[in-house]
Amino acid sequence: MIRIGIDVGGTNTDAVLVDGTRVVSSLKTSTTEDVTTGVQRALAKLIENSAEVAHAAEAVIIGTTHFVNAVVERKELERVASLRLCLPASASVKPFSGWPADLRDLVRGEVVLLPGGHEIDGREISPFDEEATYAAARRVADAGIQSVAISAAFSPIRADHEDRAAAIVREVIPGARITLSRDLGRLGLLERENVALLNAALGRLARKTTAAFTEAIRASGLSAKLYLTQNDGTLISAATAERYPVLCFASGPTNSMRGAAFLSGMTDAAVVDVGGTTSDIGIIKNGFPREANSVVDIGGVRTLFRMPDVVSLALGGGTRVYTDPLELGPDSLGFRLLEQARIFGGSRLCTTDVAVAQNLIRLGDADRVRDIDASVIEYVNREARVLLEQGVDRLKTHRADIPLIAVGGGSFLVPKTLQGVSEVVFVPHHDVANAIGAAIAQVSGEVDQVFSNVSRDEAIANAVALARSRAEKAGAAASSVNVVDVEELPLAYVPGNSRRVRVRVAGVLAGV
Amino acid sequence: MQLIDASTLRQLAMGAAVLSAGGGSFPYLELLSAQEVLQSHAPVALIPATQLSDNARVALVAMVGAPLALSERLVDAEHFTRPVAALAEHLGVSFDAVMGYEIGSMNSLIPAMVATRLGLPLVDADTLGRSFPEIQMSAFAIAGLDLTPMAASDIRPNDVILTAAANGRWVEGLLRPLATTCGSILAVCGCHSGRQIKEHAHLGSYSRAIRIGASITDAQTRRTDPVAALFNRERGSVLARGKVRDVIRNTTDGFVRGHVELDLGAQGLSIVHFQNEYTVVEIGGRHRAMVPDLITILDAERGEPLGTEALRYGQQVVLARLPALERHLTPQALAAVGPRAFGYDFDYDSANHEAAS
Repeated sequence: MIRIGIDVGGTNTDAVLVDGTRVVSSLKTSTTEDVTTGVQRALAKLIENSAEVAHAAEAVIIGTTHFVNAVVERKELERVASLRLCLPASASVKPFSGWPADLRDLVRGEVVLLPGGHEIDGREISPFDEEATYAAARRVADAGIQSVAISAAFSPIRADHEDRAAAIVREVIPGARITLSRDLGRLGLLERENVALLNAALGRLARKTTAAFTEAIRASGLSAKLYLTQNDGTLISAATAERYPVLCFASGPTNSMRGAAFLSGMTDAAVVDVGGTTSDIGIIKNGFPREANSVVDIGGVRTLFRMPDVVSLALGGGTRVYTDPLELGPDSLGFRLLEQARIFGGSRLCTTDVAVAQNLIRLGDADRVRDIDASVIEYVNREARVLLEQGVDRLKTHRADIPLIAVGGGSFLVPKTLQGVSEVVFVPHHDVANAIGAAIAQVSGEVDQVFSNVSRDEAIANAVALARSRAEKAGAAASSVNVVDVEELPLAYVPGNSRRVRVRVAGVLAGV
Repeated sequence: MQLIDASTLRQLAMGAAVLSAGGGSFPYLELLSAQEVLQSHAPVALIPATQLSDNARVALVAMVGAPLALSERLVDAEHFTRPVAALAEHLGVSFDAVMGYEIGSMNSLIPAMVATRLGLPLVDADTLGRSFPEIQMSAFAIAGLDLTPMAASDIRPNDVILTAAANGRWVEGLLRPLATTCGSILAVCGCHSGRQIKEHAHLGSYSRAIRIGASITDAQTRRTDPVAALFNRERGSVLARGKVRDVIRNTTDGFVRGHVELDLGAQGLSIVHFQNEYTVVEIGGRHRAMVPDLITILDAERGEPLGTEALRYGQQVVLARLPALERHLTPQALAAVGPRAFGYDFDYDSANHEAAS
């Protein structure tokens, strides 16, 4: 199958054309203010390079940091109503608690706490109150709010109260965009609710963005279908991304990790993606990014949902080097690297200058960096080494050395050997690894459910079957679906031999 | 006079996390809840126990249950004032002040929010002096005080008054199943006199927690070293700096038992044992700290105390010891809170580390 992968980063938009496992064409362009112009330009160049193959592409798969940037930069967010089913409990910490004031003022609309929700053992905290829920929905309608986040205590264990509230909101506000907390988050009411609120706040932007991407593909004359990549490194349909934009938050690092796995042929390793400003380090396990099990801060908001475990270091190709006193960063020349770095005629020393001075890479005018003192080179190398070694170490879960795959435009900064690393692996096409990760993205299916009164084996088998059918429904070729992850958690104090089972499967995208 | 205001609460939360000795991490949700109460109520005073008259009636409050339940059913000030009202009605009295049983982690903030909600002063004292896993380790139980009557409230209108219990162990045994029935969160309240508190409680616990917390949060704000700031002001010392090499955890009868191995580089290896809280530190095969010493593991960079549940391979940490409270070093107290009370076959030995003065 022929596919186009595009990664829209903060600085660059990278694109690749892939036929099966062969990279036909790849390129980098700069990211544009409106995002879609950059995508359109990238598509035009791919067509220019290899028109015949490009026109045969069946899928354009885009990874974008657009949604997470909107939260961080407080742009294009919409006002959201919050319904929480929890009373008489959980009333003193209201929705939006702990949010930065500027973000809260932009997003917070009607907030209504309602009776309902469940206990840790699945009993109701109090019965669902239809009348109160109708009244809340009417309040939201009167306020003119279209986007609603619904949360309930312990909804990952029992979701029926969120479902019933959603049905009522849909009846009172036809066309309302509704986010249920249990579709996105884990145990931890406030953090899960925060994910739902952020998702609801991105509803309009998500629709606009996917429509613009679709239009960019159409305008390029391609007949390929649009997909977006999500936080676990697999792809989702444009329609799903529109409903759940938060699932695209960490596309950048996950696409790099998937791309690195593909390019190296390895399934278990650490991956470092060295960009212009930062290095992102993550771990691939069975070829997929390892998930974080703790709170992740998004634009000042505490969240807990499916996100990759990533460590970001202030080390990139544009990181400044100061000589008096000797210091590495943490600031970077960023996109001004091409004008301000010494090798490009500028006067500011950065890591790329130092790399050129020791012949690690050929770039710009090497004569302009011949005067760099050996002690400066030694210092920068040592600091970069320490940063990378500590970064890899923070992600390890055991003592043994692990391999490290180096990708990204600045990967020449990674030393050939590192302590705690069994081998440093450099790969071809490393500078577009993220776009390749998008192009080869698979389709996943996930189940996170409580099973009661069945054996452990039966519960897992049921969960796997359900996850498979979800993956196939999302577009996976049935014969290719494999189990990626199984996690089983016996629940104490819950009657009926209950266990919570989380299963994730993935397979290749079936031909359209 | 010290007021319990928003900045004090944050310092208290940080200090209480240190005094939890690994039993809990920073109590974020409880801090949010306490700050929410402050939006609609005036800050109350933190008063020294010496200001209490002998006959003063003080409401002691705490949460009994599972912390996981509190991650979904967020702590509610209204709920925790309920047993106070129930006990006042049962005794036919009104309370003069509020106090906490335990200065560690969330149980330090719950009394502060109850006091604020009721407009009563908060007494600068507690009954454990830190976190310990069981009620019989409290100063009141060690002194043989009757802990009843006690009131316990569900979030729904279910209140129970415990009028008598054979001893501290029985209070624990009677309240646990009740907590499970009520969704694993139970608000409890007991009543003690000014005189009992002055004679038997750990005095100054709140101001100590606030002081410890402030040294860390101030250093974080000024971007200076929080660990150095802490020991500039507190007695105690850094035992070692190193990296988490391994964490072994087992859950048995409600306790999380296990140990963490720290790689100290040239200094070798340290093993820190825990039973909900950190209990014993070994460095190079020698005991360097043990209960009732207050053992804490701090994030090397941020200075934040790490609970046993937050420990992960690769973290850079500082292992530190605050000396045991003098009150915990009497033979009677050591029988309840010394190494043997945690199942170790050795006695408390201060010879290997600086004497607790």
